[in-house]
Amino acid sequence: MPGLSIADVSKTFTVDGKPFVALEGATLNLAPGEFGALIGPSGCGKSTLLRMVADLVAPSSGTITLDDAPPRTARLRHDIGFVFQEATLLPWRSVLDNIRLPLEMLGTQGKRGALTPAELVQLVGLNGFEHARPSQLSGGMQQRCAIARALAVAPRILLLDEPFGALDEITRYRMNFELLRIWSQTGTTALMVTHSIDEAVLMADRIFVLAARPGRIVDVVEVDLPRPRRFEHIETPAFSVLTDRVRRSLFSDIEQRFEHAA
Amino acid sequence: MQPSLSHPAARRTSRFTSRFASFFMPPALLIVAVLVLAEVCARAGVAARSFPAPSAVGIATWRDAHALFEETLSTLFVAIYGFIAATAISLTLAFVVYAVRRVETTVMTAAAVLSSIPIMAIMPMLLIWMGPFVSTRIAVTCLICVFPILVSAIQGVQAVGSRLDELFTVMAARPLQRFTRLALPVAVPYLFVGLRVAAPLSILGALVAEWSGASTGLGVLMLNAMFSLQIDRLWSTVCIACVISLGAYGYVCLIERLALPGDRVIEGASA
Repeated sequence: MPGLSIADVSKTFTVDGKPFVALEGATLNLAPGEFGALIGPSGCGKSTLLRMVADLVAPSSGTITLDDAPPRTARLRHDIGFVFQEATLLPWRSVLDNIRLPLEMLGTQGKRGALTPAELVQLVGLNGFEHARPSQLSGGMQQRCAIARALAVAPRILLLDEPFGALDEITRYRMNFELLRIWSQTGTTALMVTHSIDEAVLMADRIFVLAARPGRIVDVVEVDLPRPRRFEHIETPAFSVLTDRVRRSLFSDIEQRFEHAA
Repeated sequence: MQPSLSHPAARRTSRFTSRFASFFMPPALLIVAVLVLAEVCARAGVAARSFPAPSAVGIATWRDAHALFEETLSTLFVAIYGFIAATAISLTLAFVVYAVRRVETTVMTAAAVLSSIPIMAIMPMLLIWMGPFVSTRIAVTCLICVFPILVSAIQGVQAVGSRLDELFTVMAARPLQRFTRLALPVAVPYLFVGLRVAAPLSILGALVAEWSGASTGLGVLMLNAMFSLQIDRLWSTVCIACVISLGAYGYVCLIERLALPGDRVIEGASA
């Protein structure tokens, strides 16, 4: 099936000689162009899941497909864009040259980006900073550059690992709306790991709530807020209902524990 | 027109000159003092015959200037090519170690063993294998230079952060792309530490190589002067060897300053 499909994926690491289940039986689907969010406490395996989609880590069992192809094929086809928590820019390259970097990995034939690096600079709002070094940019601007870089080869899926986790809350809201605008203009599928309930509800079409020990998906929340999302949406009752629902799912295991104790 | 001292540029220049002076004046004064003392001792006949007056060395250098220049060029030729060969070999091995991490211990052990063999011990072998040609001298120089450059190059390519490594994996970079676009730029500041150490070694290597049956080079002049007890001439060759060694070091430092922004230069020669 087109889009992202994760079927019964588990991952077991060995820590100090003992097996540690990072993720158990995760199943999720994202249609092309959809925005998914992974939210959960530390150690619930949400980053591991994202890294498995990017073929940085291999699953212990289960299958992941991107447009019916395994992650390795998708990666080698340059179909994956990845944004890390830190911008991870090359400090000796200018903004433009950093954005151009993934294009240099393409062979002489094959795919080309939908937007040129210069257009991407416009898209992420870094005009005037094309020739600046990453060290001259603020954290938010560095992350814009990283997003532009991830989009340079027009990936079929954009994976974001807490992309705004290192930013202050004001910059973070701004970047959320920026990313939504960029995502809607490129039409790519997106999967984002986040720690913020607000961010998940604001951005995603579907939120996958994970729990830890063992890491697993405990709830899927469909976000039916209209698009394009606006700042006013945050203040609507529908938004509050959704955040409450996600919060309840996040803390469901705690309630259960209390009930068992009682 | 002389700018007034209150002008910022002029102030900057004067500050630069004063720092320059405080940096170079004490050693310069010391050298001059030692030279004067040596001159006085030699003229008073206090010093041994093997210790010539600086002025006599100066005169000998001037008299032989043409021959010295020719032979120094020949030595520099060997030193430079040996140095370049050592850098090329080190970068190739650093690429292999970066692409196939398992081989690191093998490469480093082999390099350490090779570098611990006294160069004088393997020179006869090299002469028999390769013949008494310039290529043999370049090989000897290369052998002496390769270890510090290799150690720093490998240290450099291993300084790549794991996040950047993952980024290049996601971008499906091929090994050579990963090396030239990521590992090499990260390694350059480390590499220069090794290059700084190896620059004077390249002159040493070229001189030592010339002592085993070469017909041209500063080392040959040195040996000839020694065997014919031409003390003045021996001293002038030694002085020139010192100058070109220092020059080689300074040249590498200059390239480093030009190639890297100040904050990426690694101070101190740790290799």
